[in-house]
Amino acid sequence: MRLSFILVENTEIDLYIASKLINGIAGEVVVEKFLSSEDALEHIAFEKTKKADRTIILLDLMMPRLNGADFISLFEALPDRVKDRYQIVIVTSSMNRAELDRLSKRRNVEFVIEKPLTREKFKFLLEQIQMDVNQKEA
Amino acid sequence: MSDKLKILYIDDEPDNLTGFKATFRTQYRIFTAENAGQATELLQKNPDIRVVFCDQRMPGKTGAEFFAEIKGAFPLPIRILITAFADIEAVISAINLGNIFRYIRKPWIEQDIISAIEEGNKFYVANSLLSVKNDELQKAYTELDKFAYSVSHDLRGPLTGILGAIDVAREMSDINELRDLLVLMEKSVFKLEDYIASMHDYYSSRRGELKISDIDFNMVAEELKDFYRIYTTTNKISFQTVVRQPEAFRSDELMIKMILNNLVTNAIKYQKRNFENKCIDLNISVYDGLATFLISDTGIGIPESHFDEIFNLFSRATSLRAGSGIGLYNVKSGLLKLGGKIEVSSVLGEGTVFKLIIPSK
Repeated sequence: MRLSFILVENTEIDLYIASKLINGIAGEVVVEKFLSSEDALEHIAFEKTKKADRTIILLDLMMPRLNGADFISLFEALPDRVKDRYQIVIVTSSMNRAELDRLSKRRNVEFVIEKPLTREKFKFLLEQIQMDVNQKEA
Repeated sequence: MSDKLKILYIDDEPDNLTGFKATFRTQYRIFTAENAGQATELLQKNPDIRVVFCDQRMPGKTGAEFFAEIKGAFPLPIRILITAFADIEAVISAINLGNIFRYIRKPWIEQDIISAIEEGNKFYVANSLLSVKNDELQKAYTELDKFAYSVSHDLRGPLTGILGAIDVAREMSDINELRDLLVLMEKSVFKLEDYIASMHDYYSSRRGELKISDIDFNMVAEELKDFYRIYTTTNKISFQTVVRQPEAFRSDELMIKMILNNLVTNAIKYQKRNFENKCIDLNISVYDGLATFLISDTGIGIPESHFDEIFNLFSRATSLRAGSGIGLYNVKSGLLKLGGKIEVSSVLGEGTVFKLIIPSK
């Protein structure tokens, strides 16, 4: 299965860390990076994403202009054909439990990961995604 | 005299009204009404009436009924019933329902009325203070909520970034990669430091007392230029200042410096990258007790749709540059304390001009 990643993260250091982890652990996969959530959404909506069996969106929540929660709402309004290619994983330093619980129940949100994103957490995430894929194939 | 307390007296007997007015007109500003309709009209026209006296026995409506009726629309004035002994039941129920502050027995004596007005006024003042404090408290709570949000974003965010970087760095062997990471970690530390500095500004601009002194704007401008010389030279920005101050100017120097620092920092931070002639111009002129500041830059500009919100706490107009969204909020609350005002005009991609006017104290 070919995985690819879209990183939506307005903090440079977090964007750098995430892409290092992906390349170090998941190997040579396509990683598309966005400092602006508006640009990322446009990229997805106009189907400019590189072809893959499954694309994981690592989404920060606290971003100026278009925040993560609004990003999810706009994403949900896209046609199923587009949405079905993606899984959203929230990566956040937010301590607002209530909001995180609410967001984790949204249809397209698979996981919520608390920052910092470490090798351990990222490995765990990859395992979960792999298990999910195996289940669906079986 | 206009600073006399405004008192309203309602009675269906014109003689009583005349007597009341004659007795108290030197001490208070007296309004009189013969019925509930006239009284309501007067309350509407004079929202600053402090104390209302009403006779219990009136044709059509009793005084207690009248007070129960106006309580909703005019909650502020203190309500006092004037009544004969026979109506004591009505008085008790009116007091228990919270419709009247106290009652005065008929025939009234001057001393009773004066003491009722004084006591009622004290109560009125305490109540008004309480509602002002309540508003302030509400505002403080709203800001506290915003801070809770900001703590996870602006304090925890850079820290988790550094933690994540340390985790990644453990597995790195390439020294150049490590150096790149160090640059990013340094940026996170600067961000935290910036945030703490602006928190400090936030408190001094809101809670601090003003220290008024003579200000020499030539010195202020020179200090600014010296302070930012490192940034402006390394970023190839020309920073020019022009000061015209033919007269003395008094205000809080630290507050004005805080305001100018924030605006100049923004002008540096939001310059266009890869642009040849980066400029910041600061123009200060003092005339007729007013200081006018013009700060213009050749930066990325602000969309007009964001003009209203950029001064709000934690508001950010762009995701392109680092910022906490506190700077311009501090500028605005600082100006508020100094009695000044600020205007912004901007062309996207060309630059921004902030115009400040601050009166001398």
